[in-house]
Amino acid sequence: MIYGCERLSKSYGAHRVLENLTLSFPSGNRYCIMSPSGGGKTTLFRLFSGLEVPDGGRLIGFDTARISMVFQEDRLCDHLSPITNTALVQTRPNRGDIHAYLTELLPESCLYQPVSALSGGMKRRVAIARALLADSDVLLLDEPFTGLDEESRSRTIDFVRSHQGGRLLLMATHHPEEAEQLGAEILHL
Amino acid sequence: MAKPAAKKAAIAGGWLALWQMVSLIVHQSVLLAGPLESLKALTQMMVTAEFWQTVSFTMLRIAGGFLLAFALGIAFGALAHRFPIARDILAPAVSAMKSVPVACFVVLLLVWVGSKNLTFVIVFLVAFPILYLNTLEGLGRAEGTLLEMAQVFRLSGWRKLRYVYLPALLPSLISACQLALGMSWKSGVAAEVIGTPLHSIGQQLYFAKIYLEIDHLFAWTFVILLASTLFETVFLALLHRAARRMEGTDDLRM
Repeated sequence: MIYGCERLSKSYGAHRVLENLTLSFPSGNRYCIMSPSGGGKTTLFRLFSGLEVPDGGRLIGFDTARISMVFQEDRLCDHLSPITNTALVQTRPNRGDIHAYLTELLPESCLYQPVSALSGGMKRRVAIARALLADSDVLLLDEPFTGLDEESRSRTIDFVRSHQGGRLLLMATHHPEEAEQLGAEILHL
Repeated sequence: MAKPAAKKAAIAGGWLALWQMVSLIVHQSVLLAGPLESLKALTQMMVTAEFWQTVSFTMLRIAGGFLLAFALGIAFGALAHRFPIARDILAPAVSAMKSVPVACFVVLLLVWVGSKNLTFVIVFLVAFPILYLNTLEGLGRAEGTLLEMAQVFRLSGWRKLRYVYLPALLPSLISACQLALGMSWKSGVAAEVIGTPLHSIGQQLYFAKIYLEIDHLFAWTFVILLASTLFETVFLALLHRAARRMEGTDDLRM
């Protein structure tokens, strides 16, 4: 399966964020999209995820694909536990499986606490696990490792690598070392 | 006895003693009946079948009017949130229910529906706008960022309702219910005093006025306070319980 876009354009008022952008991504690969701040990475992900409509051009494959995403913010349901936040985005959740996967990233003691009681780094890892464990064809990770310390970041990158499966993975980041550790091809916008 | 409870009991006892003292000084029960006289009137009333018939008549109609307003307020609030055109269509009606004095509605309803179902309709008219507007406001407070998350992950309508909208709606809904319940009893009984439906608390208050039975007036006032507190406590406890069950952290079907 090939995903991509053709002559994609998007503006906010007079500010043109993307212009005639053509990209192509075979399924199962990893890509790291890099650009200076305000370069259109988040806009591109919002177009791919259907949260924005392009002004011109067309999307290939994304419009019918099941998308899962790590947003720049965690966007978790604060009153729910990491287990339930993760189960929420699954069609047929299995508590045992989710529990086992989450313990790869989080201490077992916090799996049933409301996420509002967790630290910023823990919340970030829940958001990443939620996206990785969702039923999807495409993973969009928008600056996913922000706020994680060195050790957590390394462990989380390994988690992402091992749970990508045959899905397309696109990550927006400012850090080339994250792309390197993830084994992703770098694309500059 | 716990310290705060003892303090509350002492304060209440002080006020009752003051009331009794003033009534003894006034020494005219047609002007001010004391707490003992009122209690005596209440105990005399309570042993009659008519008392319980009267209380259940009013309570059923107020509870019925409120529960209908609760159900329709949420339903129409959700509809208006989803479809702005519905909000525009409902706006004049809701505005009229909010602004027109209860007395005007009472007179109109006496002509249209008679006195028997007056309380039910009046309570509905008073409670509906409170519940409708707070539902609309609560749903509007659902976080845009969470709604985007729900859209990207294609959450089902039920999960979106339960995990995104409900937590945003609940605080508004609970405070709306507290306000609407209080208003329901005040407006319901006031309507009964004007319309004097048979076997209603309002009719008994009206008789107390006609026959200058101030002890009966105080006794019925106590009954109204007790019934409204009881209904409010039970209803809010059930609402909190339902909310806790719906918001439960780990009860997603797995």
